[in-house]
Amino acid sequence: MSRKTDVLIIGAGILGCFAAWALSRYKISTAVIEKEADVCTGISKANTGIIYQGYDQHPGSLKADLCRKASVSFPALCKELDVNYKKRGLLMLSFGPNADRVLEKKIRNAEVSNIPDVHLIGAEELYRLEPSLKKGVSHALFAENTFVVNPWELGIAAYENAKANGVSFYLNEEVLSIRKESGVFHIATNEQEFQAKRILCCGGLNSDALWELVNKPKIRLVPQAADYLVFDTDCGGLIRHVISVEPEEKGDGITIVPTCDGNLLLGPTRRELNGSFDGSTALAGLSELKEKGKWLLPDLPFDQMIRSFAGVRPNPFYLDQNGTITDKSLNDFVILEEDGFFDLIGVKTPGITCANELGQYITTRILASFASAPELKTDFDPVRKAIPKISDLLERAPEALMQLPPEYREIFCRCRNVSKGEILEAIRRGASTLDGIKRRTDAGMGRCQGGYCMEKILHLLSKELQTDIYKITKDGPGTEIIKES
Amino acid sequence: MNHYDVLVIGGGAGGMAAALSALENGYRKILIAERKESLGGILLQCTHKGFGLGYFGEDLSGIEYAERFQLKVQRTEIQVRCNTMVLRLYPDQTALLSGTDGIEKISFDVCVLATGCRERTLYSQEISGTRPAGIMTAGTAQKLMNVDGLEIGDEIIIAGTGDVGQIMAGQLSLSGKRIIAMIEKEDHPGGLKRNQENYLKALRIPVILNSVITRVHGRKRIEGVEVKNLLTGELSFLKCSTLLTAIGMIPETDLLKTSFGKEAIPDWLIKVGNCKYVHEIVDSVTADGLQLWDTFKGRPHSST
Repeated sequence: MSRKTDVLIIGAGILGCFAAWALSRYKISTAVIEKEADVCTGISKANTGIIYQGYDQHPGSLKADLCRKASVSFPALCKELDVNYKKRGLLMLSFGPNADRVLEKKIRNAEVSNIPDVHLIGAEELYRLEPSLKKGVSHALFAENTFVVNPWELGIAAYENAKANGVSFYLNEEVLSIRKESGVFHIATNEQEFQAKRILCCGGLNSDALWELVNKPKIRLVPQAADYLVFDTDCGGLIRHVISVEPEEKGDGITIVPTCDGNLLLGPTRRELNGSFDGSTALAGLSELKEKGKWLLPDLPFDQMIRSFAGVRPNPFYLDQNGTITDKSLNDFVILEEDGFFDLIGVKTPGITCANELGQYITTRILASFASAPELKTDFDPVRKAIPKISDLLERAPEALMQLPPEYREIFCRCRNVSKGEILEAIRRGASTLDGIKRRTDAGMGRCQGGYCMEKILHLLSKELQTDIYKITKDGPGTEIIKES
Repeated sequence: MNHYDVLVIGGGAGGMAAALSALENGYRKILIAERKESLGGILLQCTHKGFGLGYFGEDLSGIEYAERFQLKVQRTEIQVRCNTMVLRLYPDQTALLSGTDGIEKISFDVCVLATGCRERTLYSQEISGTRPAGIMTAGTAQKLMNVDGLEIGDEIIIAGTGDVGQIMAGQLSLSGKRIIAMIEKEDHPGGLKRNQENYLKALRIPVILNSVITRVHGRKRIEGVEVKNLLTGELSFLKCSTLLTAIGMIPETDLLKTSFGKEAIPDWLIKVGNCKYVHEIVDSVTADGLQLWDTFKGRPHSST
């Protein structure tokens, strides 16, 4: 028995989740399959979480257009999905004439693309805004309307509301084969078979391989690694804006992000992987970040570093007629489309920024491909509420703590003040792994990195999921926390 | 608002001693707030001996040591609230407590911080590679094994030679698990002499000196580590399926950071035990708690 659906989305990263959310507004059936144990685990979780304004993009490009829309509407989106974000503003620094020219070009881009709140400031104003930065900056581009968000939190919010509006998600399911018969796609996974009228591939690093299961090769993804360092919330006050450096000489800059939670995030590096998809951090990358971090922010306390991690980015390149990779890389978003198969291929920066806009954009295209375009649902429920956070209430309204159910009084994570109630709610909403809990509640994300709460959460997961404690995983099958011998 | 002469945060060895000595020094209304289910702190996961030689003149297990102090506290009018965390301290000598009993704001004259210490984590070090399952601190392993009665894994490497690491190496080795090696960056193992004798020497636990772990291998569960010899720079690969860390302890003073930020610590607050600095043995933590009031120059208590 095949499971029939109008649209099948492959991949529940942030793009898959937002596409599902956009489709869930229409009278159409949508299913999403994800090979990992949770949504938003791949590229979606390992990035800076910056919402850009689009001055980096070529005027007239899809990226520039979607970025501009995204940054203007971002507060409204976060309000709708009840997602935490911070308006930080971004300062792009120049240390000399070459970089000055690049900044001026970006300012012109902003003007042409009609992007508001981007202007050039001088050294005096810069050091008034950020006194801790290295001296010697000549100018800075100030993009005031730059936001930061926890990217997985944004994606999970879209996932939850898509699910509430009828989209089915199938986790731990990997596509094995796709064939097309009389206009219908037959998709076999390790668990079942789907029949779908349309396929939307949001397969991240696999989006070229998935495309080639049914279509002629067009674009190949060249993986590139990015390393990051995370500093404790104590350092959050050191800078208030997102800082990036436009390198004076050829080379990569650095970005420092005061995150939504008040940590400092340093990164990314750009490391060539020579074809491998190895998502591990490299010592060279970490040393590079340390060096650049010290250079840019001399007071950065390296004893406050709590974690390092890496992500892998897809770098899309066109193939020539013989199927060899050309040096023609794609600067804009590209959506491949062939006979009902849509592919958001090789989406990287500013993918998080544009996730919602890409979801809407692709939905319009998918809907238009049906003979008669599906109508909007009348019973779409737009309400999605975040899990209440003790730590937020503590800052904003301590008296409101008293109104919460008793399980919210029991603190599980000592670093971030996450209660048992928050963890129970995360489990109720679909978290089944330790990392799933971490992404939904922040438990284990603090300076002790789960040293205190991991054992407590392990027991709670085992109890709530009625699963043997030795089967509880960090992030899906094979990552069991403890092992019986 | 309930008022206490002394609020003790943390009911481990330091906190219990501080509360008992507060009583002896004339303070009457004393409250211990403990986040776990019972008093004793980290002692409750220590099934091994070596506690109390200084204070009791006896060789006790951590659990026995904790029980003796639990009894002492129970015999007094000291109030104890377990499953309770102090969420915040305020400059006006009040505190917000949250626990299974509810959320309550209380006031106090003096506050004793006895929050102990926490373990340094692997990824706070410069470590490259993957971020797989099968890695935890030695203290977490100790809790899982000794309190919960669970196994944690086999083919174990221990980063560092801190006391808890040596104790766990001993315990795991005695329960038939294979300790592949402990990796120590110094030219000699850390920890107490008696632990070195009882565990490293007696059980022949391999220790690799002058070395650190530089890379973690394994996509899902840990499969091994890269070890760098700091003298020669030589890199080697060691296979394992579990990695424990015993690379040092850090005094736990988070509450002060979240409550006061960069402001000065108020004179009504005193630190005791491991949150002040990490003590080698529990007997000296107890001693610190008992002597607390001899030197306290802060605000005088209201009962006098």
